[in-house]
Amino acid sequence: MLKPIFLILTSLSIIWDFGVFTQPFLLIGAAKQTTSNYLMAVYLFEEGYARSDYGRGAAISILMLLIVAILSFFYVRRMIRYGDVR
Amino acid sequence: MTSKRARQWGWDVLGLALCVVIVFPVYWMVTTAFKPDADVNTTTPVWVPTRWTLGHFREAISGFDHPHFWSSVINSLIVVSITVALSMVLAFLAAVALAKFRFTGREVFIVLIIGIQMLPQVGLIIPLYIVLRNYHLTANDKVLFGLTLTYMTFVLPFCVWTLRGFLAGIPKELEEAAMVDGSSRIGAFTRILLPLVAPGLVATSVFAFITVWNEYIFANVLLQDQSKQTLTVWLSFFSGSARNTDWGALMAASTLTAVPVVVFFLLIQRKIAFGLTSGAVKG
Repeated sequence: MLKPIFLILTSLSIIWDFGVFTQPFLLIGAAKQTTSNYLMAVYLFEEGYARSDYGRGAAISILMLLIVAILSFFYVRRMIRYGDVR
Repeated sequence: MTSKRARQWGWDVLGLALCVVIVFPVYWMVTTAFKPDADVNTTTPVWVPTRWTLGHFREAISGFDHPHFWSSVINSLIVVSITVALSMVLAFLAAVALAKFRFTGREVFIVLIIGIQMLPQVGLIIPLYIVLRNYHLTANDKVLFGLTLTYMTFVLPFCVWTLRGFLAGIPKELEEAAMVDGSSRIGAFTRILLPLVAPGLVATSVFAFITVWNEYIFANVLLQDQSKQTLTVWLSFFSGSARNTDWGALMAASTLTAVPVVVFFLLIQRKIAFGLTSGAVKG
């Protein structure tokens, strides 16, 4: 009974937490961000905005989208069919 | 029997530890807000405060260094209420269409809705800013409306998504039964579907409320004027560099920011009751 809910929550968690930005950015502090503690969203911010390389930033966004799309493929496939059986 | 009991104990301890990990930051925030400065800045932490003061709250609300508390509250409330109200109406209609009707492009639409949530918000700051600027919504008198529209771009897909789940859980037969008994489609919609999905509407609006209330990145980028800032932006001015942060005032301000969400949730969580439809259809 609980299996589909776990699937949904896990997948949504992956989708949201993959792009987490505010917490690491504020807790570590903008000045102390180094390549060793980058997360994807922080990397995107540093490359795209801090260094004003917008094209590279956009490319990182697309890559993040692709990675999450692959990670949540099964969830999305299942959700499209969800409700159709009724 | 004993091994079973031991396992039960193990789970209890694990649950308690998890609870402590989650509750402790909140406890620390609230107690630090009430502790006098001497107890905040010590090398040995004061776990249980014995001396209490309201000075930090006074500093946070009306202190000379941190003006605009009340205007921030009002701005936050304006943005949150408009965003939640608009997105609930739009999301509900969209979710009904997605859950109850079959149309061309429906699957593409669903994939788009979930795909939008996969885009990193940080990557959308500049594009959204440019769009808003082209429609002159970054000007000081319209920026709160611009911020509302920005929030709708990511609150709306989520609301459609959750509401669709709730609607799909309501058996089609209930509506059909109403229509067999002579109800119109609109009558079945307002008298059967709407009351049954009410818990879903409440749950989704709570989520939308919390997301918008706590949003920081876009508010920080868009709101340049201090008189237009929301609570999260106001809060961010409390943390200076590590040496001169007024921790007591920062924690008092954080507590003040968190309280409305908690109150809202407590008021509304009683209404979140599920399982109304379970057993409504026989067989």
